Amino acid sequence: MKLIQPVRNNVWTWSATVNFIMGGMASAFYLFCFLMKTPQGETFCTLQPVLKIVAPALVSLGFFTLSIKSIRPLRARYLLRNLRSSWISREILAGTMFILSAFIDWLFPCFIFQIIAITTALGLMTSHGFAFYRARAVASWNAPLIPFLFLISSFTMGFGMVLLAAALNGLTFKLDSMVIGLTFVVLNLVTWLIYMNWYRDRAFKEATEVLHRTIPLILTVGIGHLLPSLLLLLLLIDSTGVKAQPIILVLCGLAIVTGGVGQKADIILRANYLRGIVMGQPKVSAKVVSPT
Amino acid sequence: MVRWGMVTDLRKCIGCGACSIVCGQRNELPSNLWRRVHDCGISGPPERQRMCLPMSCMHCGKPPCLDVCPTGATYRRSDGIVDIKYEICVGCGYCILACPYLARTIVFHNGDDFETDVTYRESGKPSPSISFTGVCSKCDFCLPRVDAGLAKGLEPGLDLEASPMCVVSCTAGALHFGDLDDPDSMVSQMLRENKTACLQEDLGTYPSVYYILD
Repeated sequence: MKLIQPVRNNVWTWSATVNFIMGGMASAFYLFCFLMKTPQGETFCTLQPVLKIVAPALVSLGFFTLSIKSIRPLRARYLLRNLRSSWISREILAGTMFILSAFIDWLFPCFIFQIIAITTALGLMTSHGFAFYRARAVASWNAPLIPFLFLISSFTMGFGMVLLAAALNGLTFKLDSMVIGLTFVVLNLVTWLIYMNWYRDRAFKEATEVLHRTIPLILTVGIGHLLPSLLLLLLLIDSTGVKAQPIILVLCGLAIVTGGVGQKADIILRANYLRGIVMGQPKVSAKVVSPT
Repeated sequence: MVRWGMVTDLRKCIGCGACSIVCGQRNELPSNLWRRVHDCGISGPPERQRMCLPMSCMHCGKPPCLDVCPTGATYRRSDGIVDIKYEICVGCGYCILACPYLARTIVFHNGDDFETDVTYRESGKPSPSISFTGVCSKCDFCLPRVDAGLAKGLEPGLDLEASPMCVVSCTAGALHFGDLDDPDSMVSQMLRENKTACLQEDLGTYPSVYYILD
């Protein structure tokens, strides 16, 4: 028996959204800078070392937006006290370590700091999805697919940023780097569609109903995935055009980032309904159950 | 082992809201913050049945708010009461998103009518003045009253001085407090003799607040 209808939460709003978007996108961008190669086989960060500082700067910006909304920012020193079970503690640890190690690696390139930065970037992206998954009160977040969706979405947005960076810096892509990017875009689209349509739970359906409306669908599916997929396919078919058409790279990158921002913002700000309150079935002889 | 819990007799609740008001007064917070009485429509026309549903923290056996708290401010006592160390809560709101009972809130602004900087612990503990502003807060089953009552040898649930204020102030006698693990306590007897249910049972949180429906 449902007694209270779902209500919107006003706890994690724009500042949290900025943090999760920036953190995920920047971490993935950092990883792609090491992964993406030019036709000559050089990684992007080797050719443009300045790219390595963009990601920690964006992650810092995300943390900063969180801190300006907090009424008790000085208590942030307590945030690492529950690493054993809290994904927010883990996110803060991974994020802080990422910022520090990536910054040091930029100043004094060092293999160890590079490894730490790459590992913590992965940790940061992973922690975002699990942080949402553990929010039991929000039906659309407490779905098993959410950690994977957040991870893939971050990778996709990171690839979008790489396209923008490549266009701005006149970098060219090796063909298989482009294929990796396209794979993430397609995988993200499939995961997103499964997420929106798979679960039969009523609370989840009610919460995610807003995602099925026309404008969010145009933004997340049309602009965020279908358009960049088509453009990437065009670039792959005519691989010589990768360098020749930076405008396509910019368009593609912007579309991916816009779609990814829309995707995460929709989940955090629009499908954020707290579960309705449901009374269980009355039992004739209720036995007090103690959890083991 | 003691496990404090509450039984709410919904047959008796008249929705007066006295429990909510007295809760706010005792804790010097706006009413409807830690304890709310919801007016729920449970059937459409022509019956249009309504039900008054008093709700506060359920002091779950497996509290989802506990694991997510990044600072460790939320903790569960051995007697089952889930409490918050307000002096280390950062107010991130994660526990609000984890609690499926809408039991937690953040007081963002200290309104004109309410002074939220209160000397919280009445039990004589040397504790500094604790502010609820900007941190997550919730019902604690009037823990200081319970502890102080136990120290005096009183029995919470039976002795008013040792019982939560909502139970003391309930005009209809719908709220009952006691030890769920004691088979002779009044709450255990009520659970044996009546049809009872819990909220959000599917989520496996093992709440310590039970409702008698009919």
